[in-house]
Amino acid sequence: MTHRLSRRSLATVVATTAALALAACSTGGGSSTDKGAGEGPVPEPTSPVTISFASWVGEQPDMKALIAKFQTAHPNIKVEVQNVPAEEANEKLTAQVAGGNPPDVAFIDASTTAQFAARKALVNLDNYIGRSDVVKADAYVPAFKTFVTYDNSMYGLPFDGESTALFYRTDMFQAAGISAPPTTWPEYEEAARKLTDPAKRTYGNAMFASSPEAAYYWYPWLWQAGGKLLSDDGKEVLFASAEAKSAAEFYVKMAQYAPKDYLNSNSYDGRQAFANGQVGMYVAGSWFAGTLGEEFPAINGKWSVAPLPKGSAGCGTTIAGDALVMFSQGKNTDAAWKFVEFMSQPDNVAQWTYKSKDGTTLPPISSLLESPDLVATKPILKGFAEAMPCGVSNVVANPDWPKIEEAINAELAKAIYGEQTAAQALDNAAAEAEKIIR
Amino acid sequence: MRGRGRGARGGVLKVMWRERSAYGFLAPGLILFSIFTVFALGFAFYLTFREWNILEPEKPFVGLQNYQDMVGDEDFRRSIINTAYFTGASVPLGMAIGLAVALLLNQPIRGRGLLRTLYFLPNITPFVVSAIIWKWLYNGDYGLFNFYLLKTHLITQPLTWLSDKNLAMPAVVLMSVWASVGFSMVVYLAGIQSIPNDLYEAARIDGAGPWHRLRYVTIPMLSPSTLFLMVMGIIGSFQVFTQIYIMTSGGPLDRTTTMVYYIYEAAFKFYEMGYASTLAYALFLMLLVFTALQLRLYRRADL
Repeated sequence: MTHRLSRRSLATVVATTAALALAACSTGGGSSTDKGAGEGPVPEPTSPVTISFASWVGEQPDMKALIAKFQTAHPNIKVEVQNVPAEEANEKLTAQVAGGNPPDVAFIDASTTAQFAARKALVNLDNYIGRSDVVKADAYVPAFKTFVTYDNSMYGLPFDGESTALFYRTDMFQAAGISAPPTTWPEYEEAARKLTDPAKRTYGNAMFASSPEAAYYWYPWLWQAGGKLLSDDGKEVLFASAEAKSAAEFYVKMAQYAPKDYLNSNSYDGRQAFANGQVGMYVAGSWFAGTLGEEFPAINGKWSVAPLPKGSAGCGTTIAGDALVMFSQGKNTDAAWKFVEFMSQPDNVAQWTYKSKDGTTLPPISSLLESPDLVATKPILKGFAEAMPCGVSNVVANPDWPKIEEAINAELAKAIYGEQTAAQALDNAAAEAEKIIR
Repeated sequence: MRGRGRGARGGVLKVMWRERSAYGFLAPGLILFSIFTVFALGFAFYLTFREWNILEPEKPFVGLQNYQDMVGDEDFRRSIINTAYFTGASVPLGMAIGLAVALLLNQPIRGRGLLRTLYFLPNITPFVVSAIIWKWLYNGDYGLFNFYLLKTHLITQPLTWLSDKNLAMPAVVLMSVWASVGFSMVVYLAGIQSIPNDLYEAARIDGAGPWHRLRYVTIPMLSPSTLFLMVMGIIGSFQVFTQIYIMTSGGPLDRTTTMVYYIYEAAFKFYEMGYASTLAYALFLMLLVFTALQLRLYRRADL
């Protein structure tokens, strides 16, 4: 079980460094915009070709089945699967690009697409998308399309996604006399207060002060209050605004309804507290649903998922996802596109995401996301699917970002431990961030 | 001695040639050592003047910037204090308990072989496994420690141990002492058994009671073992990492961030290889000073 969050945050760091690394290497593959120029459907290869496909999911039964299906439909194209652990994927791809030997197609963390594209390592897919009957640029959920868009062109096709939502224990809600999951901040606090009873070792929610959890789980509240982290050019610190402070104050206040035991823990280890019935509400990504289903079947039916409560600026959730990209140094670009196009057919995306047996990821295609079929197949994904249009990415393309995030985390942690107020925490973190950016 | 030395100086090459087969046997070890230790050491030193994030092929020269940053780095200073705290608490405690256990298990009691094995067991248990188990023992709501402490009314409110900013380090120390007692015990036991019995007999004839025999015979005779354990303990605990990584991740609020954990963060969280190498060299220097001091002690004690 990959710890979803740590993979993401690591990917962010690696991606920024990868971008720098790529800048230093001459990629030399020529212009990436002329690939796929032409009219009508991309022709089928007439003699057998092999394309390479790098991912960390190549061994999953659903992926194997999709590849087998592709090879049956396209007998002249053989897919050679390269498996890389998720944590090392970006590093490996960077090295492969630098060495002039990247795979034809790769499954990558969608948020890293722009950084590979900026270094001309990826094929601009606009030509191919224009010629395709299957792939439609405007079929994708806007937030995910943003991930893979660079310079107004699409360099990847979103393949799966997830959002952060509110997990809650239905049995504990019933016992505390709460009829429905909270939809606003005051309702959230009210529910947390009712669920908390230290004598019975029950608590309203979980709170983590360890890095990067304190910052990461603050972001959704920040979006809901209408706050931002940095300006779009990455030069201005915006997370000490009045909106941000209201979000931080509320967030830090919720620490009183959290088990102190888990303060120095993380959201993966904290799953125990939710599974034990210690904690009634748990903010987490959809990976958490998979973990609960696999590891704690005993509480099946005792928990559910709802969208995060709305703040003064409406709804907001942190999203992440994966995308399929093609490398411009690849040798069989047309065949590679055939594969990407096949995988991106809505039925195959559905098969990969919500229709997969243990899968809890969401399809990044609007029509699938809104289809009644999704809720019918995986009722647990309803809350995530509803939250998706409010998705904001926490990925900041700035090589200094990991240090700034660490400052936010350290200062918020002090506030959670009661050493300073939430407003002071943000002011201190902002002062530190200004120093780092200068 | 002196004469032999002078004679050999001229013929070093000759001797080397005569013993050439020995170098053949040494070669595999030497080559591995050169590549994985000597080269790594040299490369790390080179990196202390560079900025490097592992991925980038370029390693721009930054002069003494890394050293300057280190001198002004408050977080690093705090990690030194934390390390000193850990070392100062865990080394003497582990040695004292080790000595006590060794003295007890030197008595002719039933099943002492089994007991010795049991005390030594934590030492050969994979450390990660012990750390994870101890994490559960320290759990505030369900941990065994709190269960018994509450039951015996030693505390009225459950303690949150690893999540409490003032208790986290003592908790890590306690776990480390538990893990190291077995080793101290074995070393002391060997030391005790090599003390000649005549000394005790003579002391007894002179009218020394059990306390005086311990104070004036056993403990002085054990000083080589004590010095050895102290050197190993200090060097080991300056490099404490595993239990920090597993049990607290350096938290809460960096109260358990020790030097090696801080170096690890610089290298693998922020990808600042140059800075991390600089910090590692600082740690190396500190250990060098300690080792030199202890070697002097050794010599003076003429052990």
